[in-house]
Amino acid sequence: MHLVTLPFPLLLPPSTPLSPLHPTFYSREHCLPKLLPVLISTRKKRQQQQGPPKSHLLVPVTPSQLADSCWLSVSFATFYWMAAEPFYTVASDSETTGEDKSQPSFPDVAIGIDIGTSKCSVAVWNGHHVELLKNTRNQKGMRSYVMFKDDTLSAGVTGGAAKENAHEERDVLSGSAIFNMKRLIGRMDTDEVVQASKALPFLVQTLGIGVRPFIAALVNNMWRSTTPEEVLAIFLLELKALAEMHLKHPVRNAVLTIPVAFSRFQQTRIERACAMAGLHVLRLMPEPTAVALLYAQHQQQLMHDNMGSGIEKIALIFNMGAGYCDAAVAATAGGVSQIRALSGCSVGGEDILQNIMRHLVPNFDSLYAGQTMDRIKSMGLLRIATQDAIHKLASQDSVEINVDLGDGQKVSKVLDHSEFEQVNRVIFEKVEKIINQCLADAKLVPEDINDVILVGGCSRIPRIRSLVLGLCKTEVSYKNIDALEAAVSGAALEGAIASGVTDPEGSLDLLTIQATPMNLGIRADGDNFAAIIPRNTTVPARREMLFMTTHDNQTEALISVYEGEGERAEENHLLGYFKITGIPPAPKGTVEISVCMDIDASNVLRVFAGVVKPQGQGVPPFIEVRMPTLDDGHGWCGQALAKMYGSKLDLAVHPKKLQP
Amino acid sequence: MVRALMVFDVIFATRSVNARDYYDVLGVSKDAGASDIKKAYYALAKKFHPDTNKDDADADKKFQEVNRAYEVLKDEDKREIYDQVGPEAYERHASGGGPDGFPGGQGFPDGNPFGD
Repeated sequence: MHLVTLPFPLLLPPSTPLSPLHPTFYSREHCLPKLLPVLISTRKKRQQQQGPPKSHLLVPVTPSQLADSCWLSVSFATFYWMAAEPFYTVASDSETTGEDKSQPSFPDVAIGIDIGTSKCSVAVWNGHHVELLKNTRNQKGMRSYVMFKDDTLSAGVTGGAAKENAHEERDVLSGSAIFNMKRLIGRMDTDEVVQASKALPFLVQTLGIGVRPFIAALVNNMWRSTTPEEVLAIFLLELKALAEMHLKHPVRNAVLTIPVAFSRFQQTRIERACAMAGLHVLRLMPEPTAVALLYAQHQQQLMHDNMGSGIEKIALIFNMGAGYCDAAVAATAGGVSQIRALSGCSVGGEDILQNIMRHLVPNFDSLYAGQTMDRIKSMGLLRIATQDAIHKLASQDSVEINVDLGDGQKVSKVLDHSEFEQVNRVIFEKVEKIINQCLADAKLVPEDINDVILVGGCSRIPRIRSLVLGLCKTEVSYKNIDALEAAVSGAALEGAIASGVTDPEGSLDLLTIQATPMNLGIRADGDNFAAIIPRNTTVPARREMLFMTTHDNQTEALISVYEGEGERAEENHLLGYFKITGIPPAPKGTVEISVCMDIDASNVLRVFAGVVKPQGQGVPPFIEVRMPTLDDGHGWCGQALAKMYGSKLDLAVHPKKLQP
Repeated sequence: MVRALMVFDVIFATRSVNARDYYDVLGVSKDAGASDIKKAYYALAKKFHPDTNKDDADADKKFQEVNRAYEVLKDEDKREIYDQVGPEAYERHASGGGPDGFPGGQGFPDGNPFGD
């Protein structure tokens, strides 16, 4: 296993004032000031002993115990190994006494988290309804960033907490804060989203070889390196502390929303960041499916109130935030939300912002090439002015932009809707494609849609609204949902359901039937991609396909597993690879190899592969591999494999495909 | 959710390699209308989905069977073909996507580890 030596800041001793955990910010006893609480459920076998729930105990725990915890990443254990001070775990009595989980006396309910590219929120089922938690500044939507300052780190959850330290937008844009983590996490340095991130005020360095980018924040005029996972982990730590402060008990489990376009590799990075923050991921929900669950609950409620017959309602959910845009078609009846189709891409408000910045300053790229302090400051001013203008354009016909960027550079311009739309034409085209693909995949026409639900910050942009509504041939969007709170509310609902909470009034009698957002398959027929589980297949799913050897006496075959929409394997995300060895020598095309992919209800992907013809004792055992296996550098690996083996270990799709 | 042990469970537990009739899977009659099929699906989905049956190791399989039946019966074209050829031939042809290029046309090799 790959042992991560964590750079700054997670190697800092826990006594470092990580703001939310530092006594100056929260003084309640359950917040465990100073020492980072390691909230590990020891998951001892439940005994049948009954008794009232007791308070949470602090129990010393050794680093090896920490490392034994099944979900704990190596990096997190390393962090604690390095720390000199004693280790603590919060053990709850209810874990060991067999107390009924559904009793509200110990609400071990998973929280719902919506990590937005720009803003983040957290919500929890409070026994009656979903409640969004507010930070000390009374905000439900908290800016997603982590500020690096000398030896202190603080995230946007507290926003620098105390008034005199409060971060302002210009601090966030000073190079000292890392933001847009969700756009960077799990991406290679060849990715266009990473390339576009070079226009951010902190350092994003790429080598263009298919490894993860180097990112760094400015601390005392020096670039200090970090990783998107680490930044996200620090942010999640603050978020978890906030939730614990509200709930007055330790929080272990979470349901997070993710963009539809997230690859399975990116999902593992989110899980790793959560593990580093001491959170166990119960489920990662594509954002529009979380909204769909909330819609299913609304519809169920309406049916109850009207004594309706439980007819099926179909909703199209469109979500566009700062980093991603996605759509889902969901059918719902009786509290069941069935995801019929999903589509998404990494286009969002950040792209709109960058388009406008480049429009305002045509020499943007040459002007800001190479990050000096002056240029970072100047770019920050431009960003703030542009952001402000875009927000204003949502409610007015035109906006005047006047900003002095320093060094003789001034922007003075009136921007109206038609110009705004012209500059962002490509983005609107992508939105159109997402909606059309989603409708086509769901095999529906606009007239079949009962409700169009618009969520996410960018759904406020008039052109986006009119575009989506127009494509769905309707004039009004669904009213009863808050555009910024819907996803996190859905995640909190799923968190309660997945934690086994029931509601006497039936408002948690819900179910989401998920679908796969992308094709899953292997490389075959040369460099082609053979999709074994096509996108929008209902989960859990199991599909199988037959392949055959491409060379005479071929004794080995390489199974390279990919995820994505490209027709060629290399256009997709490589998730992992393994070899089938010991194939009995035979003329090409006569050996049949079965590759089966299985996604269980927890969304775990397993690949089974082996020889099915010939049969008998001379055939090697099947291989089962849980995917993704790749840890990093997936761009590299595909090329290295191609260079090393060429077509020697290739398989071809068998004309007699097998699917259950 | 209350888990009612019904005839279905017994049938599922002893399910052979052969595909079951989709109408039986959904518990609807051959002339059921689209809304009856939908209604049956939503009820069975809630009953068999692994999320609502955490203790049932076979929930995955049961749910997938319900789902497969629904995929076909909710689609008028697919349902028409299904009505003509029956479950086994339907699954073989619908998934094959091409001519059966093998002598005998038996389809599935024996001992296929996934041929449940």
